[in-house]
Amino acid sequence: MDKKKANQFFQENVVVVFLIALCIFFGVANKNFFSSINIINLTSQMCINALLASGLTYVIILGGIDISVGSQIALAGVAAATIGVKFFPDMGYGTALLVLIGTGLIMGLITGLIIGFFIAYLNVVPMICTLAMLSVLRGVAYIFTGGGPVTGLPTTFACLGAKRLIVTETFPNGMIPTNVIFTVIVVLLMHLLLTKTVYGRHVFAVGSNRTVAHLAGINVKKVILIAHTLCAITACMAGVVTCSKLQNGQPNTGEGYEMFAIASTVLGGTSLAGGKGSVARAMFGVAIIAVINNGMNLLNISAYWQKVVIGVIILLAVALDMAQQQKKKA
Amino acid sequence: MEPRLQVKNISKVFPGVKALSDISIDFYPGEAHALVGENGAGKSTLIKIIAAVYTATEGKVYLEGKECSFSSPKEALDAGISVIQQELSIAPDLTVAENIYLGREPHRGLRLDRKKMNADTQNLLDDMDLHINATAYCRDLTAAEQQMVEIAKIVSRNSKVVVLDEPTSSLSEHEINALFLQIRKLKEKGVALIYVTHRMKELFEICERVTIFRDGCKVTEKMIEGSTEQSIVADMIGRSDLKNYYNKHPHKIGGEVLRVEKLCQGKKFRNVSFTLKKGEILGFYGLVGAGRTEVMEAIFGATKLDSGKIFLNGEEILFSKPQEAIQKKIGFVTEDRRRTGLLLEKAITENVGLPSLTAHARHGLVNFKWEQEVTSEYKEKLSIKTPDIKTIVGTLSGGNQQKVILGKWLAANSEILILDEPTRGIDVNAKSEFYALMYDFVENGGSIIMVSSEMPEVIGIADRVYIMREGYISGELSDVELSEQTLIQHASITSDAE
Amino acid sequence: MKKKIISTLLAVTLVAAMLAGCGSAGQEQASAPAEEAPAEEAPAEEEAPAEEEAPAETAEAGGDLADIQWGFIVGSFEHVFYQNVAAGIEAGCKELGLDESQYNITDCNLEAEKATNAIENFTANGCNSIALACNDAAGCVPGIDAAAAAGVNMFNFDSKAADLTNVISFVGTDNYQGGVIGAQELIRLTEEGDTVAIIGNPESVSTQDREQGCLDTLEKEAPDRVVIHGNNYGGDAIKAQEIMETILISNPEVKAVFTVGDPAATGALAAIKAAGSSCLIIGFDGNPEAKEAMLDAENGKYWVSEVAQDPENIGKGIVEQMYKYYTTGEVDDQIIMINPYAFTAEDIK
Repeated sequence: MDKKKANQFFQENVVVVFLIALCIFFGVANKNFFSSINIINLTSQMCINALLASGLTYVIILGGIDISVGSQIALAGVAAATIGVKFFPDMGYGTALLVLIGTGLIMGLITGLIIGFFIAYLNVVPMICTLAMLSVLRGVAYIFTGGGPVTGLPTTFACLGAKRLIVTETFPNGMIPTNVIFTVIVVLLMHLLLTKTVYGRHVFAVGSNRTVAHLAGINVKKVILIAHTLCAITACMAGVVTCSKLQNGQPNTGEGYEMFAIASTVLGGTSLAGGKGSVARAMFGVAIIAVINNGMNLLNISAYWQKVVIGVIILLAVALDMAQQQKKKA
Repeated sequence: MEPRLQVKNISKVFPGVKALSDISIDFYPGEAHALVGENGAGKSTLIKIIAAVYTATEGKVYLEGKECSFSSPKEALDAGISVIQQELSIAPDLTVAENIYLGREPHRGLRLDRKKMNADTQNLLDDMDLHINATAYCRDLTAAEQQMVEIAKIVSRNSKVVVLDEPTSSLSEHEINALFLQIRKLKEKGVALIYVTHRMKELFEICERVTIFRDGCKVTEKMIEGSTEQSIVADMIGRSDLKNYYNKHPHKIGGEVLRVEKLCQGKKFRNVSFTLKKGEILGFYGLVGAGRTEVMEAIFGATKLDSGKIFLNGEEILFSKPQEAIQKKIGFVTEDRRRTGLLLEKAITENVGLPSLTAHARHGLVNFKWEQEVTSEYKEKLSIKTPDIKTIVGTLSGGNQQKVILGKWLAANSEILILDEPTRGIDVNAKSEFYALMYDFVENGGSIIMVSSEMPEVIGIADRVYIMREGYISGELSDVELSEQTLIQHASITSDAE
Repeated sequence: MKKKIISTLLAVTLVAAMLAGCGSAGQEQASAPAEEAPAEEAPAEEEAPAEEEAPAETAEAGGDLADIQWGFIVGSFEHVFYQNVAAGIEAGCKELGLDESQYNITDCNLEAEKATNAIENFTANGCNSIALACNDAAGCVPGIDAAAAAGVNMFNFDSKAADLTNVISFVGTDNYQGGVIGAQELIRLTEEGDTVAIIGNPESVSTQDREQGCLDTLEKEAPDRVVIHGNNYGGDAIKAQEIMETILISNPEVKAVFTVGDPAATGALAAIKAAGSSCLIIGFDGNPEAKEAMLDAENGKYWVSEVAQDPENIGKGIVEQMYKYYTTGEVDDQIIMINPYAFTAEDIK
């Protein structure tokens, strides 16, 4: 029994162990890895993926998937930039925040409700539905912008993505990036929503067994609709953060980001079969991916190899997930 | 004559249940051997052991005197043991020939020899006097024709033993006759047939020998010739003094709480009307597929009714989703607890709290305190045997799982409980504990509808019983009228019923 | 649940199979006539002397203007650069007085396979000349050869095909020269012994050339500069930003960075500003966002120089050559390079 428990502990925390091992490896390999500036960069680089993973956790617990998050990033970004340029060219920090977060919310609501409606009420398989949306949303982003980036935003627009707070002598540019603060708030909210609320409980119930949940009086379709909406809102928030970070709306950004987000979520122990998962643990997955990217950049390892390494890690994570499920069935 | 297939001292234990104990039967070539018994008596388990779907806990199977040690159904099939399932295993989008030769297609090198396959199939079908085209797609065939394709498959394999599991359940009278013709041909060829059925009439028409099962044991084996339908039924239900075991005692029964009128739903059930009184345990007996579960699901709002009315405490209601039924304090313990009753990978607390979370939430937040208290309360009251209320439900025994489901609905303050096969697959002690809990519930003002296929249970527990057959209510029996004979009369498609 | 997963997998497999199916079909068609094409990617310039004679037989010189039917394939309508090329083509055709039904511009999503399909479509529609951008230098060659064999006059612009045997004329930016100019700007903006960086994108031939031109020139003209070779940014500004961030950590003393595309410059700008560095940026492309940033009081402090191509002139240039060939049966040269140029905020004003 003890051995079993120890085994279980290791299985549950293999991500943490792996993360620490990675950090030690890169720390030894490059003296700059643990420098304060790099740590700040690292947390800032994690934001977009963290936002995506926090929402994806919900749909993956439901046994679904959303592979259109990358396109949602692009669309929300160009939408926020367009609104900023057209209506608030002289905006202050307050207005900029409002435009960014407001656009993220509204775009998330719209895309999320559309995706959720198709999946929950028209029973379209999530993979196919979001595959279609991946194309549709990217197309809309290009149509919206005519292909090029949306530019001409005031510096205040960078308030959510590129600003850093707490300016000290050692950190003349500030210590804490605003996007990190924003991400921490959103992720925390998503975590509490999943663990502390009735809705969160219903997500787990529907993901574990739809019939049981239905017979226990849960409105299964509504749960699915809301989960996809939440996922889209976090994706669109990631979109406005990106757009704020670059101070312009790029229609071609976010391509392939769904891969990293799904990988992070699965690395964090969320089962692709549904019913199991955690936003907080997904953040370990996010950290792993970010550390690998950052560390390999620092070591100046070719981008081609980065692709290979990330892919292999995703494969291993999913294989581990499947192996554990097989074990459970047996 | 040498027996073709022998099972010797077979026992099969599932976690918590002994499904078969010490079964020995000989099956002879050219003979149809019927296996009869109530649902859960062990017939299907035995068939699955013969077909190597299950491995026996104890005992051995011999084919033509040689011990069989098949590790998969495929090996059993290759050795000459074929099974025709209740649900047909025909691939609808393949042709008849493709189905018959599935997995052993004739080929030249890597190339499929379609010509030979189609020609061989057509010869086979013609030999059997079947008017089926070898190149027709199976989805275009009738249910009966598909069954004939299954039989053709067996003939083409030259099977030594053929198991037929309720082969007539979806066939018309005319089609049954055609099937019997083929079965007789198989017998002439010297095949040993094992025939599982609920229909007494067929026994006498097609079988030579019958073995009767009850509670996982072989009660008796006899030749059909010289037996009567009554004697077989009597053996099926046994003669033990059932009423004591169930500890039936009188309790107060009040006025009507639920009345349904003329409920209809497609082909599933028609014109179902009944009443439920306060404090009553109302039994619903019938064979599997009689439509009892479907009626309950519709009342609970899980499926939609075509027509009919439901009155709860005199007020007309119609639940469009289970949520509404739960709000009106109705609970539904489903037939298959692992598939539709429990979140197996979740803790007891999460399962118990599930239907009532919304009602006890504050600002949408889970009331963890209530959840733990109520789970602890019912863990005590229902004596759920577990070290901790956070234990994962999937690790509990069947009886304890069933108690968790009961606790779930009691925590939701249910006043009417619908129990669908509540004691299926749980052991004898757990059963009797569960019955006691049911009495507690009705004595405290609750009412129960109990769907059950176990005759002794229905007789031992129910205050009143409705019997369903093929989608309609075929009878109502009060406590004093209840007996094995009356139940089976109403439920079975016996010779005089047709 | 299990059923659901299986069906999802099936669906994915199906889609994948469909895509693969389409892909292989296209490739088969494309690769069939490729056998005659030389396998090695010899630099096309050296083969240039063979110009004009090879494809001349198929051409009908001195035809009527009304008989013209031209097809153009640009890399991607999603890129500002190609939008401008397309605008140049359109302007060129209008100047010639061509009717709108006489020319057609499409894009190929930067893929050789789509380009090949587009060539086939144009050929089937009776185009007598087709011009395309070969973003996949080698992948487009079979399609070009096949169309040429069918009697279509093939032209090439912007991104050069790996084999110009069947191409009558190529008009494009000298990307290598662009890299040289980028290096010269790096040298102009920094001092001896300074550290400079390059953010590249080896996924496309043109950006590869820019990177190479810059590296070669730095080595030749300013071997004293410490050169940091940044990673592949893959066309994504966010990725470029992360690369710049790591460069600034490993080498905070970096004085200037040359990026092979404007999205990379945008990302680098965000990283430099956030890090409080004073590193200068030399962009490439000459897109509107570059001009805007350079004119901006704040951003203009960093983004000080830009190497620009001249997409409209590329478009006009190829139309001009096609017309010349149509009327006289001759072109100015098989390879016509339109030089990029550097500009600063001053020049825009």
